[in-house]
Amino acid sequence: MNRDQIRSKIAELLGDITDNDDLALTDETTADDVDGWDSVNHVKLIVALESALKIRFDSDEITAPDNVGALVDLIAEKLPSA
Amino acid sequence: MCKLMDAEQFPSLARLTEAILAVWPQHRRYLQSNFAERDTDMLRHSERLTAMILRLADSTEGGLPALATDYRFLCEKIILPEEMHFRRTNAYRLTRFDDALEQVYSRKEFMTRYMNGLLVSDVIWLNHCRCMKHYADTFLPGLPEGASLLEIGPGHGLLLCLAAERPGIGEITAWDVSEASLDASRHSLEVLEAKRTASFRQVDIFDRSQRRENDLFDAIVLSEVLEHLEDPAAALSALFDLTRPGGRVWINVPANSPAPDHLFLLRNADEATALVRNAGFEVVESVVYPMSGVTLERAKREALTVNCVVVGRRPAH
Ligand SMILES: C[S@@+](CC[C@H](N)C(=O)[O-])C[C@H]1O[C@@H](n2cnc3c(N)ncnc32)[C@H](O)[C@@H]1O
Repeated sequence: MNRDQIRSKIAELLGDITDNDDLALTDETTADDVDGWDSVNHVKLIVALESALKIRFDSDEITAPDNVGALVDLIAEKLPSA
Repeated sequence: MCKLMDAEQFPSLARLTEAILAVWPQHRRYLQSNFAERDTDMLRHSERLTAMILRLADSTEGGLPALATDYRFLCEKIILPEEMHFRRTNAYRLTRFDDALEQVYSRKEFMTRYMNGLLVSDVIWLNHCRCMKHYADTFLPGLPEGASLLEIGPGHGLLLCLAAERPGIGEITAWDVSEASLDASRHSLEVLEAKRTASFRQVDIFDRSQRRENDLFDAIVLSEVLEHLEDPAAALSALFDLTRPGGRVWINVPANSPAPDHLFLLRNADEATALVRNAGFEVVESVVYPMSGVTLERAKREALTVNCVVVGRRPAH
């Protein structure tokens, strides 16, 4: 998966969780920019990413990814390199 | 940056929120929306509670900054990992008391930070704060003049202090299985210069051999205890035996509230009410307070944390 594909996956899952069908994310998007991306939904997003991508997050890692780009980087590190 | 709380109107809240933001600036948005949810009455109650917490803070090691740091530690390092486990598995991590004893209760330094964090949560987390308000503004004033009151598991002792401040309450007794908790609540009564004291006794709610013949109370308080137990139904039936016929109990128990020492997973408020009723009590009142930022409907739909307060009455005959 490349960075764009990871970002789309995040958008898809976060869109499901926050009931937003056409959620568009850029690397610069922060939680504050997205309606409904609160701390409860953040944990749900992380757990949804875990099962969709077969990865595992440590709670230390998820407290404050500054923006979507940082989350994409974190996921990229966890995925087996293609 | 603008101040979160008006320091003239709410000096204690202003001090507490500033102390939190000093160690956790990213918490601003949460605090802002959290306090925006409170009406004036609720803010006044929060201010009163915070004034108590600040006085307790002054008497603990590290003072207010340490308390604020421990609150952040609670949210990020204690609750968040359990939250993730709960979302992954739909269960609490531990179910056995012995495991909680080994992993949580016996770790003294961890426990201190955990308890400090929880003290702050009593005013910051709306579900906790509302429970305290129900206790102080509804339950205590509704008790008959001179009612004797027993709290089991007072922990930090905040509820005990509220009872001691309330005129009209009779003799106050506190039982806890933990010597450290008894010390903490005794200390709180002293620091807050409560109008009177309580008699303290180390008692395990499950151990009937520790009971005395005249152990019968007009009011019994059990707050944030049931979820720590392996057998909550047995605890409630012990409570029933200790309640004088016609007397009342105030039970506060969270549902869907993962924490390292929570063993009993309550799924909703109906289960809480049923537990109290099955122990033999009539249910006088049952209220549910969702976590900050969440409506009751959303909490139900998504299995989010709520606190259930159930007031029960032991039938007179
Ligand atoms: C989380 S604290 C509750 C503090 C306070 N009541 C509140 O509402 O925030 C739980 C308390 O229950 C006590 N406890 C746990 N098991 C008990 C038992 N079997 N008998 C008596 N007390 C118990 C603990 O020692 C602790 O002080």
